[in-house]
Amino acid sequence: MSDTKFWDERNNKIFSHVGHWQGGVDVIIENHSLMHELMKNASLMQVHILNATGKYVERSIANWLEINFMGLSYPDSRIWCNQISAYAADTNASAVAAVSAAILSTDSRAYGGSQTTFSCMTFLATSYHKYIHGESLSSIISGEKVKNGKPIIVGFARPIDKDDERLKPYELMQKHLAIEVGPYLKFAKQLSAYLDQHYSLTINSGGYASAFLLDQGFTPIDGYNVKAYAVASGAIACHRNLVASPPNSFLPLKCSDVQYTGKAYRQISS
Amino acid sequence: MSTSNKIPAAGKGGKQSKKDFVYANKAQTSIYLEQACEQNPYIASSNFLHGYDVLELIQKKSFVNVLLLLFTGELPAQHNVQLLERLMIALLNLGPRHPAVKASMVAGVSKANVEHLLPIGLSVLGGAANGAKEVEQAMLFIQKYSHQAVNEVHQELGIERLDNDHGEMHVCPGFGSHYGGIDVFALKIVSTIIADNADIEQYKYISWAQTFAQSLAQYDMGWLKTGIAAAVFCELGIGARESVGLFQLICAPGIFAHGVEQTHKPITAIPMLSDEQHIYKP
Repeated sequence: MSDTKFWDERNNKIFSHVGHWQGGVDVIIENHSLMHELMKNASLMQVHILNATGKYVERSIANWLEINFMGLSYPDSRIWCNQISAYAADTNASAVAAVSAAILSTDSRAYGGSQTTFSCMTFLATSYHKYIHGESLSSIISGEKVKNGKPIIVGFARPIDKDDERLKPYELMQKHLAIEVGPYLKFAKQLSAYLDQHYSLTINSGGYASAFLLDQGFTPIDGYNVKAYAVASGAIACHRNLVASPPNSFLPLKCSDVQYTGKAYRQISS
Repeated sequence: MSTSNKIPAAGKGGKQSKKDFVYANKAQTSIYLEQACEQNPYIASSNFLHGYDVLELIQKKSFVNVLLLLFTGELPAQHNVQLLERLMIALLNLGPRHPAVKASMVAGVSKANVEHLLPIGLSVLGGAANGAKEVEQAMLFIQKYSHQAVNEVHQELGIERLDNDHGEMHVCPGFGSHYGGIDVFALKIVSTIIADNADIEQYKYISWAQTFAQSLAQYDMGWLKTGIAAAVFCELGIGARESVGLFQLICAPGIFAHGVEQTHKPITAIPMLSDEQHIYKP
């Protein structure tokens, strides 16, 4: 007979360490009352961060992350996640389906919010540790994978364009909110200068935000969770842009617009 | 019709440069060719799958044949068609207690749009524990170790008896305990899939995985359904990355059937736990 105690304890029971809804009374999120405390004092972003990480951060930190979210969600259907949202509009799928598909598509190692934040925070945390223990930037970089003669470091390149228009507002907002530039961001900027000099690569939005999150004491998993739906807003806009259009009107392709590289015609052998 | 007229030779697409990144002017595929009709370049008049005319495939081949063609690029041998068909029946419905199916059922009973039920269930099925990601990892595991004796694998991985205090243990992707014991039905599935096959040795991955699973029995562990899918996919020449979606595809019918069944029921048809059954321990 198998020992099923573990499952018997959970049969028709839920154990939670994050929160609890007591119907008609209150909701508790990580020991904070939603009705009596958070609804009065916290911003939506503070509550989101609390749910995503278990950490109740200062409002200024949440405000900066709001700016970061704005930088992750543009109403432009060329961007991959938004293109997917627009395809959903083209089939007249609902906005919720569109944004869900768009969010799923950003669970990507190449761009988006969550995975790239996780990768970059992990890299920066490890590299900073090496750096303060005396390892040179050149030695740190040498351990990374290389493509086309350049190191592949998430957060220090951009698959669209080299210049990142978000960096200036991020810096200005951090200053405006009186959030000190911490050691990880200082290190990330040093690294960016080094990469720019040697490889023509510079820090991007993800690199900045990852260093910021590390400076605020977040873990890479926290970063992944906080950014889980960061692209939602722009994706909804791109759905709204297309949903009233007739079918097959978004980026229609001629048959010849897809290049076939496969096998030539062959008959089925009997 | 001559072969050369039907499908043009593959050429190289032009490139447009944008600083460090170079994007193609056209999407490329080696899977499918759509040939336009003369009157309208947007309308296809003939379609080819890996070089075969789709209309000929409709007439001459079964769904499973064409499914394997789609993923491997070649029409399969008959014994491989039978192998995949048996796996597809085995995994057609993971049952109403699998998390992916439960997710679809909860969505159905709570009146989510019907068209969302399958994507909801398939997202849940994407995971690395009893999900599609585990199938991919199990394929890589089987491919890596199938040339080694199982006792060597035990030693290398330090496999030993584990208690059930921390729940289900998958000692290797695709293999482990199921609710604290051997997944008895999974065992029966494997036996049935390979039953009446006179030459089991031709299936080197399944044979090795079967021996490996049997070696875990001493620890109350064995095959998991994800491991079965992985072993079969290895035999069929499916790529590890391709296995993720193929597993989801195979399991999709049951996920949707259970979800849509619940849409016909009242929202009260699935239990909502009481405050006392939701225990908050910060």
